[in-house]
Amino acid sequence: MASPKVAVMGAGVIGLSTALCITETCPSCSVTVLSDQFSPNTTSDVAAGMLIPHTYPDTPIHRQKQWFKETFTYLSAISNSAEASEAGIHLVSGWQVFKSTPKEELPFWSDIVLGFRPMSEAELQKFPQHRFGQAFTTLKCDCPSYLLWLEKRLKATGAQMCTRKVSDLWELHSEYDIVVNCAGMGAHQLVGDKQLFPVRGQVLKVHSPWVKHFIRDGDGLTYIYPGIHKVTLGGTREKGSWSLSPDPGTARDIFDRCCSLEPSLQGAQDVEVKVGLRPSRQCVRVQREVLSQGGVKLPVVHNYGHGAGGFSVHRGTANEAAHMVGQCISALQGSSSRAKL
Amino acid sequence: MRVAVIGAGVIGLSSALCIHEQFHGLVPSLELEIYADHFTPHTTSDGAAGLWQPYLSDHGNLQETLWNKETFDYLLGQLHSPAAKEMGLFLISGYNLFTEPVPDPSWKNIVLGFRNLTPKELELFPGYSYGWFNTALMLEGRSYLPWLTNRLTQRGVKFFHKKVESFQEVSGAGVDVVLNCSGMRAGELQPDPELQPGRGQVIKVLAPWVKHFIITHDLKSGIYNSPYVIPGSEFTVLGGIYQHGNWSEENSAKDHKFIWDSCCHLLPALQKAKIVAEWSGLRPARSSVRLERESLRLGNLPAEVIHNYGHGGFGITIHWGCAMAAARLFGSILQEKKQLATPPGPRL
Repeated sequence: MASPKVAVMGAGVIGLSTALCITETCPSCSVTVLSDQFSPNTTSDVAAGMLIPHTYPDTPIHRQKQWFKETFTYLSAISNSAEASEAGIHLVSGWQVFKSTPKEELPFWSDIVLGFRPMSEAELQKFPQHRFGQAFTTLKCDCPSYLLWLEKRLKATGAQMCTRKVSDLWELHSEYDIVVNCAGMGAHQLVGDKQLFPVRGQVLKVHSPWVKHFIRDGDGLTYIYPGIHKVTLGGTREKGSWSLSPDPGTARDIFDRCCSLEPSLQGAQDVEVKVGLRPSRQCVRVQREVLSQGGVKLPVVHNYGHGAGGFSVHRGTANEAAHMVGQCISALQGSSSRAKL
Repeated sequence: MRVAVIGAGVIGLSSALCIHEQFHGLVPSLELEIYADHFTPHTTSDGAAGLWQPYLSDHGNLQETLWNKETFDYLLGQLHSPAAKEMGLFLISGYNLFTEPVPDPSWKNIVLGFRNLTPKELELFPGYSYGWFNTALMLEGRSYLPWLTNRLTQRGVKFFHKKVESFQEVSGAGVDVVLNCSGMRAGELQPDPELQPGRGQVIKVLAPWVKHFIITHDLKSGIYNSPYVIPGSEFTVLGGIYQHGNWSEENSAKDHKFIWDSCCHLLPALQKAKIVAEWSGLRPARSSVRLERESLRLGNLPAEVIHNYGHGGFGITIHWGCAMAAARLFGSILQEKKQLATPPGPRL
C-alpha cells in the first residue's frame, strides 16, 4: 500500500490534532479531514481551552496522566516559541478554590502543571467564601486561533479539508482505506454510541483585559479563564441537555457567580454568550475496530468522548490514535501481501 | 490655610489627596493648589509600567520598606472596590530571574505567595538558574493619575499649568506650606547633588497573550539594566535600561535594539508583537527618598516646605506610604501654627 488514504472525521481539536499526528507518524499517508463544521463553528471554539484535566471515571489514571503530560509538553514548547501568538498558546497562573477542603488535596496532575502548591492564608483572603485553595501555573489554548493554526499546519503537509456531512462510516469505504472517528458529539449518531452523552456548557466571553489570573471553583461550575483577547466566564454542566440556544437567565447567573469570585468583572464589556455540548463518556474511546459488512472490512480508529477535558489531553490521545492508524496500515499491508500469495 | 503642591506626578497628586482627605474636615479654610508644567499623560509616572516592586535590596533603609508595605496594603484593600478598574489597579503574578542564587528581598512577605522557582519553571528561561515567583499589583499611571486628578477636582483642589521657578514664587503669593513633589527637577528649586537621573527607555507593544511580569536581573550591570516584560491592561511594556547621570529624554536606537533583542530572546513569542510606542524618561534617583520638612526664609517671610522627592524607579511602589508621611508632617506644621488642638489620629 503505497499511500494509504486516511479519512479523519471531525474538525474540532481532536480531529485536527489527530490528523496532524497521523501526517507526522505516517508521512506517506494521504489525509483528508471531513466535517460538517469547521472553526469557528465547532464545540472546541466555545471551550476555554485550559489545561486543567477532567478526570474520567473509567480510564486508568496513569493513562490520563500520560495524555496530559504529552499535551502539556507539546504546548509548552509552542508557547515558548515565536509561533505562540499565532497558535494561541500562553501560560497563565491562578487559583483553584474550594468552599470545603477536598478529599483529594493533590490531584494526579499536580506535578505536571508548574509551581503547584496550596494557597497561603493571605492569598485566601481574596476569597472570603472559600477555605482552601491551590495555586499553580498552566497553559491555555485560545481555541479559534489554535484550530486555525492546526489547519494551516495540516494544509502545509498536503492534507485536505472537506466540508461534508457523513451519516454512516460505510459511506467512506470505497474512497478511504482507514477511517478515524473524531466526531465528538457526532459519534452518538454516527456510530450509535449510547454511552456518549452531552453535558451542556454555557459560557460568557467578555472583555476585561485587567484580569490576568484564572480562578476556578473546585466544584467545576464557576470559573474565570483569561484568554488572549477575551476572558471566558463559566459555566454550567447540564447532563443530557442537547440545547445549543443561549439562556439569558443562565447568563445572568454565570455573571453573578463570577463577579462574586472577581468583583472587578462588574466592569467587563462586550459580553458574548456561547453554548457547547461536551461530548462526555465514562472513559475516552481511543480504540481500534475493524468493521465488517458483506465481506468488506473497514478499519476504524475511534478517538472521541473527551467531555470536559478535550484540550487537556488532546495531543496525548491524538498520538495514541495515530499509533493505532499505523497499526491498521501494517495490518492492511500484511493482509495485502498475504493476498498476493 | 493655602498649600501649594509642586508637581503632578504620582507623588504630587497622591500627597495632595492624602492631605486633603485627612485635613479638609479639620481645617475648613484649607485650600490646595497644584502647580506643574506637565500633567498626565506627560509625566514621568505615566511612562512607568506601574508594577509594584521595590528594588532587590533596601540597603538597610527600613523606613522605605515600611512605606512600600503601607502602599501595597493600601492598594490591596482597594482591589475589590468599584474604583479599582478606574484606578488601573489589578493583581499580577510573575517571575524574577537570576543567574545565581540571591538572598530573599525585603518585600518577600509583603507580596502574596512569594516562593522560589521550581526546576521545571526555570527550564522556561534558559540562561537563568534561580528565581522567584510572586503575586503583586499593577497600578497603571495612565489610569491612576487621571483618577487622582478627578478625586482632587471633586474636592475643589485647583490645578495650575505653570513651571514653578522657585519656592519664593509660590510662598510669596500668600501660600503657607509648599509641598515639593517636583521629582527629577527638584534640583532646579534647591540644589541637591544626591538627586541624579536614572534614565530609562521602554518599548510599548501589543502582546495580550503575556499574562505575567518577567524581570531579569544581572547583578553586575545593576537594577533595570537587564530585560523586563510587564503586561498592562492594554499594552505590554518592554524595558531594561538604567543609565545613571544621563539626562537625555530622546529615544536611543542602541537602547531600542538592546531592549528588543534581549526581550525577544527571553520570550520568543514577543517576536510577533506589534510595536505601538517608545518612550524615555528620567527616574528621579537618590540614595534615599527626601521626605522631610524644611523651614525656609524666602524673601523676608518664613515658609514651611515639605520635600517629597527622589523616588527613583519605585515611585508607584512607595507613593502612598510617602503621601501618608507627608500628611503627618503637614499635621505637625498645623499643630505648631495652632491650627489644630491635637494632631489627628491615624485614618482608618
